[in-house]
Amino acid sequence: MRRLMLMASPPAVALLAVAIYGAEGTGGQTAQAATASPAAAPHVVKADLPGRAIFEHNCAPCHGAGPGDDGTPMLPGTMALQRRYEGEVPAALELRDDLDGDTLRLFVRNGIGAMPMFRKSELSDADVDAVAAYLKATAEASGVK
Amino acid sequence: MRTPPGVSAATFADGIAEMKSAVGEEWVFTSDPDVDTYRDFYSVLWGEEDERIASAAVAPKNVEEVQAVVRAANARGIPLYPVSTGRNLGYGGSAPVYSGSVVLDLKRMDRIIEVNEGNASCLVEPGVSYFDMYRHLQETGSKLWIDVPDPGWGSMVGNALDSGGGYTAAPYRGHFEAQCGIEAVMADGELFRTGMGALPGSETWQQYKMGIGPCLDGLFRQSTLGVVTKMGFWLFPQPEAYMSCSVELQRFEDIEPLVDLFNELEYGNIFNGMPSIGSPVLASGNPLIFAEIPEPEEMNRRVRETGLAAWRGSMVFYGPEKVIRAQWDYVQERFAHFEGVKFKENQFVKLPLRPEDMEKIQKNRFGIPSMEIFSVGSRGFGDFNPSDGHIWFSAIIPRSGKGFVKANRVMRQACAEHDVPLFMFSPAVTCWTRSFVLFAAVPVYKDKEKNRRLRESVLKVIQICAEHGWGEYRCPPAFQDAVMDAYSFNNNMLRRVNEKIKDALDPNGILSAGRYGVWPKHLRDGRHA
Ligand SMILES: Cc1cc2nc3c(=O)[nH]c(=O)nc-3n(C[C@H](O)[C@H](O)[C@H](O)COP(=O)(O)OP(=O)(O)OC[C@H]3O[C@@H](n4cnc5c(N)ncnc54)[C@H](O)[C@@H]3O)c2cc1C
Repeated sequence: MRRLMLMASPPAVALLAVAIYGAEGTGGQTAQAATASPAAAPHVVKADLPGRAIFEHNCAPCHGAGPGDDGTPMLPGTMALQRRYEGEVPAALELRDDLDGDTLRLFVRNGIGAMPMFRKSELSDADVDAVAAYLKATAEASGVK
Repeated sequence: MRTPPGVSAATFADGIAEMKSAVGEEWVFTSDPDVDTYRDFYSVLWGEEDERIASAAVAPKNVEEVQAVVRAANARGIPLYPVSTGRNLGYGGSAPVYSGSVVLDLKRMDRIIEVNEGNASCLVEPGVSYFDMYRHLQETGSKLWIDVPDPGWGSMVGNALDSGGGYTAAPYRGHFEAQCGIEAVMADGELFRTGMGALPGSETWQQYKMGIGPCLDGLFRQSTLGVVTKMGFWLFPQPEAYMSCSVELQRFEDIEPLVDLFNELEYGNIFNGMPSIGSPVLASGNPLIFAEIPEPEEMNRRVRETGLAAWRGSMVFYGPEKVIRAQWDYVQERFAHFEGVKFKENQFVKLPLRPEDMEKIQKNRFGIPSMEIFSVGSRGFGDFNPSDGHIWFSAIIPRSGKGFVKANRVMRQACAEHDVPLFMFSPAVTCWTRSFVLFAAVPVYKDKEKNRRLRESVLKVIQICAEHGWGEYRCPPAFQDAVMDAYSFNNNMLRRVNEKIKDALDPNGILSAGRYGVWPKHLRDGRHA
């Protein structure tokens, strides 16, 4: 079972601080609300493959493994996958060894939820395959079985 | 292959063939799955007959290729819709306003042509994203900041051309205002440069906007008149320090003097970061939704009962520590006479940032691009409530206490009356210096019936705002005609002048047809009868 210890525990309550056109809560210029706790960023051993830079430039700003800005527990894509799968599979893509190029392409080219489609002018099919290879190698190097 | 309306299949095929020979076969997309990647994922018309859908897409790599594509289209009357990174979610995504247009996708034109450290400026192509520019500045050890909108994946050029805004100091956070120098391919394929760019050999294209004669940069803001291929911007020299502070006032009646004094202080350069006027007592529920402002007695009663302030005016200072501390002292002196006033220094940060600062700061106030906003962007707040995106409703309202209170009440009531769901309703904020904007984010679902009702309701809110003299600064294509209609002085002279310019500069009406309510002649007749 590919269940990860860090992602599996039910999130406790902590602060999500977001700023959206200056919307504000009680703590200054940021809005604050209760949400999932900052699980320690999972240990990711990044594979040294061409897909790494492609992933870091195009995917990691939402799907990276680390915490989000402003003390949010996770980046938005990682958070969405955590909510969707509730720990059944790792929320961080770099810990998934089950995403081949075709599976990734399905989401990349069709979009899902708030994530829109990515076009070939920004991410070619070969780029998507390179990302898939990087994710698999990274998941393996990070000890995901 | 889909075909643009009014263009025969043979003519279109011929045009596509010419475009392929200009940019290379691989960069012309005509299959349905490829063209579908240009749909507006947050469209309020998703899956309906009226959804704005491209017929094809072409992705040139340089100016010459853009010129060739535009000429091929102009010769055959093929409609084109240029986008830079096409991430205009909430305002139309990468879909054309006029269905059947060929999207001219400029993402591959991603050169940072120049960063001039001494002049604190840059010149970029449309495909350069905020992430790209930030990475470049970091890698080259630059001391310059960009100003970023919330999502970092957008284009400096595309965002500015749609009049987007960000969060740092006044001269930079209105992105079109921070531009200096535009190069555009016109509808006939000719290359045009604004300002000092028109003078061969000038070294001042990114220094002096105006050149000689009428300023023509505005021709390209929210327009249908050209394909912008280069744009200059002024950048913000990294300040020595950042400080965010706020002033809390206790009575409903304080709102007018609060806004007036904020205006004086900002316009007098006492603070230079983005101000915001909020209300702790009203934000105690969902902090993303600014409640309707109650009557004075009611608000004052709640202040007494909760101990929360009626108003909070927040401001940001960028500059040398001793200067901004003195400025903050001065602000406190000016507010000292308000009964019960409270002053708060929320955050002081010395620059450059240290790695440990990164988790404490709000990145967009430091010109650092991210995607953090999507944590709330379309997923509801607090509870997991996934929508399929959202649209923005963004009205320009007067920058006065009275104007803010009135606009808040009218808009909140209009949204309630017409069942417009909200997942965000802003306090009084401004990316631009001299007005406020009220932003509302309205969730969108891939559900035709919900979207139909939503469109009807939003049209009513647009109308109600217009009756009060508030117009949107920007909106999704489904509402662009209605919003332009609201700017109706002298029998819609604004639109009529735009149409005359359109006819003169793009007689075949091929570029960005319908954008912000300006249609080419052959599509106009009957539309405004
Ligand atoms: C959650 C969320 C938060 C947002 N926050 C902000 C924010 O803080 N500030 C903000 O400004 N926006 C915001 N937006 C709106 C939008 O996402 C951004 O403005 C984004 O930068 C626009 O997309 P883009 O940069 O890819 O521009 P594009 O989509 O490339 O361009 C926008 C439009 O400009 C025109 N255009 C673009 N390039 C050219 C060209 N080269 N020649 C001629 N015409 C051209 C086209 O009509 C195009 O449709 C937000 C959206 C979401 C979903």
